Amino acid sequence: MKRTLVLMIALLLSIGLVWASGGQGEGPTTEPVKEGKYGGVLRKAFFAPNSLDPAFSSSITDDEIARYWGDFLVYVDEGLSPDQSRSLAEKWQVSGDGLTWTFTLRKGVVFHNGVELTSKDVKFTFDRLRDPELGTATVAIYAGIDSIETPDKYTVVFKLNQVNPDLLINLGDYHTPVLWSGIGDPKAKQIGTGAFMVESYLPEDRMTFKRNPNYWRKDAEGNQLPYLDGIEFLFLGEPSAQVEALRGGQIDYLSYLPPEYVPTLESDPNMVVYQKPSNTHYVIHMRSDRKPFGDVRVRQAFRAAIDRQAILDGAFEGLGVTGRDTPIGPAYADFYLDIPELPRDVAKAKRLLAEAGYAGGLTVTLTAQQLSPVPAIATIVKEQLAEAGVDVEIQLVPSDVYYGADNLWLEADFSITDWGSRAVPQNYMSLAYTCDAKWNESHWCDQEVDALSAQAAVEMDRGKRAGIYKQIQQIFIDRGPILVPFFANSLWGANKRLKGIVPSGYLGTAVDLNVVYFED
Amino acid sequence: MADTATKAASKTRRLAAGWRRLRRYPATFIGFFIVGFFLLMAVIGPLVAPYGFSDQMLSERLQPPSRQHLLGTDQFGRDVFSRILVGSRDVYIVAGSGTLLAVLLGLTLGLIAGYFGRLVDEILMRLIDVLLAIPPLLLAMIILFTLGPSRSNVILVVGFLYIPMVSRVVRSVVLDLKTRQFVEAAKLRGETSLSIMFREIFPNVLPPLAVEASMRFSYAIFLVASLGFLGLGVQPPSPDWGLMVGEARNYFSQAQWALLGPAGAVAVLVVGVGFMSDGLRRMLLPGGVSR
Repeated sequence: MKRTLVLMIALLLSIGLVWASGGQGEGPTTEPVKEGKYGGVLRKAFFAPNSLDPAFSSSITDDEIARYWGDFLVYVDEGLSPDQSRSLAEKWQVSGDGLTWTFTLRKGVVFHNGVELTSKDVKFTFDRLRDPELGTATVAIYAGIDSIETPDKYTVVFKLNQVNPDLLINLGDYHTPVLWSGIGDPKAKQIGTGAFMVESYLPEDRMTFKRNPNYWRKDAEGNQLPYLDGIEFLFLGEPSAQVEALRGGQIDYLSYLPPEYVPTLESDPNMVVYQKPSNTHYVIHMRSDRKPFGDVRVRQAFRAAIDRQAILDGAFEGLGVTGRDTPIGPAYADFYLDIPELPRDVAKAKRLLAEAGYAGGLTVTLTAQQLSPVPAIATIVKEQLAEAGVDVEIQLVPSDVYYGADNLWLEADFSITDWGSRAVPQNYMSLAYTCDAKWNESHWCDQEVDALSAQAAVEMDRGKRAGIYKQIQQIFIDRGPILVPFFANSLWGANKRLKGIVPSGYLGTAVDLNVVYFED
Repeated sequence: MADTATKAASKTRRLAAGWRRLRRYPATFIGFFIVGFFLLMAVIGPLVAPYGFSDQMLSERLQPPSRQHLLGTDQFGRDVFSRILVGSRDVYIVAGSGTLLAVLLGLTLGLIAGYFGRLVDEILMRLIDVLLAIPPLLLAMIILFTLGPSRSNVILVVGFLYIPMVSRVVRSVVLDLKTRQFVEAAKLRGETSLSIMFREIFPNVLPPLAVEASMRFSYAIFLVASLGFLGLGVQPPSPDWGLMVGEARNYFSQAQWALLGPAGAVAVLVVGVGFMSDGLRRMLLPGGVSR
């Protein structure tokens, strides 16, 4: 009888726990000292960082933290354009042949240790990122830079070996917060010119920042930025824990909000959800150098068999726009080939599969990471392809295995990769869709695309460039190696007291927190 | 002949006495009913479930329980009730085979350790202590990460993890039995150790073993569900209950039913097996068993 009782109690307790976990907890409320827009400590939460050295930034947290303490030579704004007013370079100009770029630095900008920013620090930062011996992923981005010269304290000259229409954007890449040249090891301490200075770091627990009293930026009325007294960054490894912390009032702000929480937060009167269309997309690649996807008919059959809107609705709450199976989305405005979506046609898919010799059906393994919303995409794709006679076996692996030492994502025949929003389409082309691209996960090699991509890389005329990108997109639609069901909106959740948030179409981390403030 | 008749009669009497004891504990019947119900569903579930377990009706996502969907729908518009019914097959196959494996291995080790005693016992028991010293879920995760997550590996893990408990119960019973007269007699008759272990001792180990097995089964259900929740061993769209809880977790604030359904199924079945195991104990081991 005793055991029975224990079992009953255990049952009741477990039910109670489930309910309790869904309920709202009341967090400790700190009353900040406020004066107008000034004051208050922003609390946010996300996964723990991988690297505090911005040259090796590889995660969202790495990037976000570097943006607190660092500034960029060229600031990429919410609309994917360089913004001089927020850049360390006061102005820039390019020579007639497009090979020499001259940047003039702001005067009087000081690092957290009181040393003034000079051209030496900029050269130090970018030489580090170009250094093959350091082994960073940025070496490829800056391969076109021949040398960096510093004729005087406030002038930096970049000499290129070929013209690059994306140079400004590349110099504003997220690896590039300008470091103090005397830094030593940037992993150990972070000294930049940013609005917030590192106060403490407890690995795997939290990192705190305090306001930089000497920050150079001013708001429109000439008041000094930032408004916040500091930032407290908690490391929470679970999206559900992050969202509950936000709802419970333990944190004020969350970037990369998982879409399934949007309805919950929107129905909460104390919460605000911010959205912005971005080029973040989930590539379902079809490895085109071997069976079965070596046959373009199989790729076309898969393209006809999936229903992109259903995937967007089912896996991402409909918060985005459907894709056209190319990596270039509507966020790129005039670069985007705006044509209607391919309608779902299961009969056509079956016919194409039969022509390719798979009349009796086809079995493929879909490798997917355990990262929302990837399993959901996989689950829906499986059902949709089943109707066309394709049996999809889903193999779920943790993200660190997917991108791990064995590079599963570069080996798998059929797998789902999350691609972040880049500031320019050229990055996708040179990283993944040319014959010798480092991350050519679909093993696609199309001479015409290679030639067009090389052309776009040096085309300074935006109109001509748009024409080239449109041709490339048409090739992706005709014979490409990927399915792109949708382009996801970037999502943020915040307490409604937090004001001044401007959602960015660049990266979820690229929100300008210097102008964010608490309302009383 | 007469001997056989008395034996049969005494057996009947024992069972009758067991039955009388059982009737005082209605929880046992509830337990047998629950276990039987899910077992039946494991066999005929796909036939009686109102919807296919992986059928997606994306227009009917996250619907609350209704007459069309008894336990509502999940984020893909799949019927939660149907998934639970169909999912019980996996529960029985994985947790059941795992338990069976643990029982077979544990029984063998327990018999050997208990019967031979001394050094053999010492070595085996210390090895088992080592196994017991590691938290089971952690050990399960380590093994699955190493072997690669698959359903058959989950069965192996369950079998491996529960060897210590089973073998300890068997050993303690054997230690008691091996000094009994019928074992001495068998030894005098010159029977081999193997034959004594399996023909003389084994039948007497069966009742406590059955109770132990049923308890292990309830633990195994929980372990398998935990591993499924962590995404180890089963792949979507499998209607594994643990995986269902894991998938529904992020939608909890919108659709509690999608989580409470499978979580409730795990709880009900574990409690049911617990009741059943209690009943078995009362029926088969009236005097209790030394553990």
